[in-house]
Amino acid sequence: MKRLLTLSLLLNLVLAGMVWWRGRHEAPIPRQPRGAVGEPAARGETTRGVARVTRFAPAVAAPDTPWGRIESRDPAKLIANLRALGCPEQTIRDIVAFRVARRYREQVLATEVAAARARDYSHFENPGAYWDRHYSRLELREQMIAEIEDLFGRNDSWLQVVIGPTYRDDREYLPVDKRRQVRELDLRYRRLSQELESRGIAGTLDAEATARLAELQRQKQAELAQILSPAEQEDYLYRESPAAQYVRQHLPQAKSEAEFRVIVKVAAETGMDPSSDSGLNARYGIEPADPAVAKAAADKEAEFQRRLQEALGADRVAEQEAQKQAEAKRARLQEQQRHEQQERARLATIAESVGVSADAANQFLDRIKERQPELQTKFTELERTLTGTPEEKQKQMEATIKAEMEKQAVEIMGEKGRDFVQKAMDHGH
Amino acid sequence: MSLLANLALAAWLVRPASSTTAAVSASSTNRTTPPVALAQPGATQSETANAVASNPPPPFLWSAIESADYRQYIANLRAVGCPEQTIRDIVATELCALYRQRAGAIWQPRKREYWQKPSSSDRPNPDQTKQLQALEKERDAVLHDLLGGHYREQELANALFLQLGSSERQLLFLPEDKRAAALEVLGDADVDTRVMELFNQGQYSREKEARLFDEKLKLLAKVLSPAELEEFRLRNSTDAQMLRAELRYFDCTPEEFKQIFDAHEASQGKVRTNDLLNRGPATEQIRELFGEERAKEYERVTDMEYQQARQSVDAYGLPVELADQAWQISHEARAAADQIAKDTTRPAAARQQQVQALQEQADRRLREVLGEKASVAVRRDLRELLGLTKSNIKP
Repeated sequence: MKRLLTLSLLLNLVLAGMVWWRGRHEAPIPRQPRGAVGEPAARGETTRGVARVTRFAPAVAAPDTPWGRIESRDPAKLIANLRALGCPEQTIRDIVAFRVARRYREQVLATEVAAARARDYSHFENPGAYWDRHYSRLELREQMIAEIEDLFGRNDSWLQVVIGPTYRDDREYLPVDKRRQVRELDLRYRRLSQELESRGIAGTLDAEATARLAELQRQKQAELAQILSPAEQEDYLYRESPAAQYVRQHLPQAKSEAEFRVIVKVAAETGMDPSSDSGLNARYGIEPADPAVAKAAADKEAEFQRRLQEALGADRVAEQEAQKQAEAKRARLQEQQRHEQQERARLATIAESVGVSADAANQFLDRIKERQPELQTKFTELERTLTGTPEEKQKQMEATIKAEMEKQAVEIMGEKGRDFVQKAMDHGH
Repeated sequence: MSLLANLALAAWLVRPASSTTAAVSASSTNRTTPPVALAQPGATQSETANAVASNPPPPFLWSAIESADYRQYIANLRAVGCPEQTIRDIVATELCALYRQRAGAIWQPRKREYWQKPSSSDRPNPDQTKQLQALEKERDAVLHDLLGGHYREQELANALFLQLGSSERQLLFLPEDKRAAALEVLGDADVDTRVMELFNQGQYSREKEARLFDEKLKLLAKVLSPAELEEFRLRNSTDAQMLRAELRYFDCTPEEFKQIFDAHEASQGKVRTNDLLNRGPATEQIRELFGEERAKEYERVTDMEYQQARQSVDAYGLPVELADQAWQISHEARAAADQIAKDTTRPAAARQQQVQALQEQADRRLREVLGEKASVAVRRDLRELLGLTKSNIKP
């Protein structure tokens, strides 16, 4: 027995030693290098594609280290030095793109910090100041993109630089330099439109502002025509114009590319854009502030429908309308299901907090759903008999609903049902 | 006892090397490279490098850094003095790209032509979702294992798109060192990811959001002073945001805001922010805190109709006093309409007519005060409110 214990203790020692050793020598994490390691390039060959020289503060590296000798404030020089080491191209792109991006992000951060410290918590920030910073950030991002694209030549968009050739850009139909011009144009007009829209009262624009917005769109199209060739303009029209966006967002799926193009053409000619949905306010119960705007929108939509019938035929338009209704119905059902799931999850949390199971909360909700028509009638009848101020009526109604809910909850959950209902009502259910 | 210890130690030894190591690259070999061999000045590692006589040879070659093991790769980068941030960028982008590829093998969105509508049903099935979540967890564990701290793919996106993370934005008011410490404790608990999940996965509820915020406060209490923590709460809690919305036209100092906020909390739900149906308790509270005059101001400037009028006045560059006048007109019309509605001694039709006349009169006065355009939204809201009063008049 004594011998066995000695042996066991010895084994303990050996095992403990192995555990210690293993802890010191952690398991390797296998890696597949991201790109082929290149032959070191001659320095003269490594600056290809660099269209402009920019500067960034090098990341901190001790100057007497090997890395310190390849560091440079000039990204183009750093690229050249990395290529001279035979560093894989994708790794060079990762290093430089993130360094450039971090430099820009530092600027954004500094601006945001200054803005946060300049305001106290008693009031919201002036929306104008917020939007100014927002667009400054987007402009900085444009500069950053241009810098990254210039550093690596103009054949890849900036995200292709970072993510690699598998990244697909929605604007691939345009050369990289034109994509940049279109992006800059988009940004400028987005800012102008936003300034106009922010003056809209309660989410709607008056007739004058609506007309100015349409004028901005026309100006933008005119500027686009200066940048894009006729073929590129046509591509732009079908892929990303406001008319194309309207068709994709508000109409059912076209049967074919050819049909889609016909519809977009009609939408463009009748001035439709993603905001052209005269039924939108009605769906959300918002009465348009300016009846003239509402009438103009309805007239425009009617004209679009008329022209669409001419182009596609009445039968196809009717088919589309039926499809639209079916899609809307499906969306409503999905929304209801989602809402119910959320409601069940919330009630389950409340149930748990009062010591009742989630199953009981589900049973309660099922019971209420089952009795909904009957309860609805009862409450509607009651509403007619209430007297007093609106606040008093509201209170009476709340008390009646609460009593009814408590009755159901107590039947399922026992006395804890009262706490459950109280808490649910406190949380606005 | 000794035998038990033997068993435990043996079990530890035979456990999988690391939960995070197995799957990083199924195809990669597990070779490791020897420590970095630095190119000495004059060394002839590459004929190409020496081809240009005017250029000094590179201080090292990338081939000496490369390794089929991430730990070795990072060690090699450190050995040549590569800055820590650059190492993180290299390793994190590489790993994230690798995991994107693996995620793509589980599920990727259907390729959509420009003329096709985006499909809402184009999403991973529950099984794929589970696999993708597991992969994400594995990626984060590998990143944590290699780079320490809590590195998330989102950080790369934030860097590239010049965005701020949600906690980073909430902490901007703090000095830099405090902000860094706060972000670290929140990162350790992965709070931002959980907040994002709350909003993105259809699981949002006010209670869950409040619980997460409370958890945030507890974590931050470890690194912030009580005053900093209080400021964080007043800047970022949902209740404080709602109160700011309510008080946007109420002239109050930060100290007064805090007093109101604390009083709301102390009332335990009796006073609710933005309770449009019952303004009484909130006004009473302001009366107790700041007196009669401020309570009157509060009642006026937090009224829905005043806020609408003020927004219009600001948008059209009109004098602020006109918002007061517009509110007065609207307020009087609503009060008079309520009186009429309550007067059950008169026939319903007559009362409804009278409310209609009141609305038309108020509409005319609002036009006179604010002008045609600036009065549009105020008149619309009043029309809707009085319409409701009218429809509630029963015989």
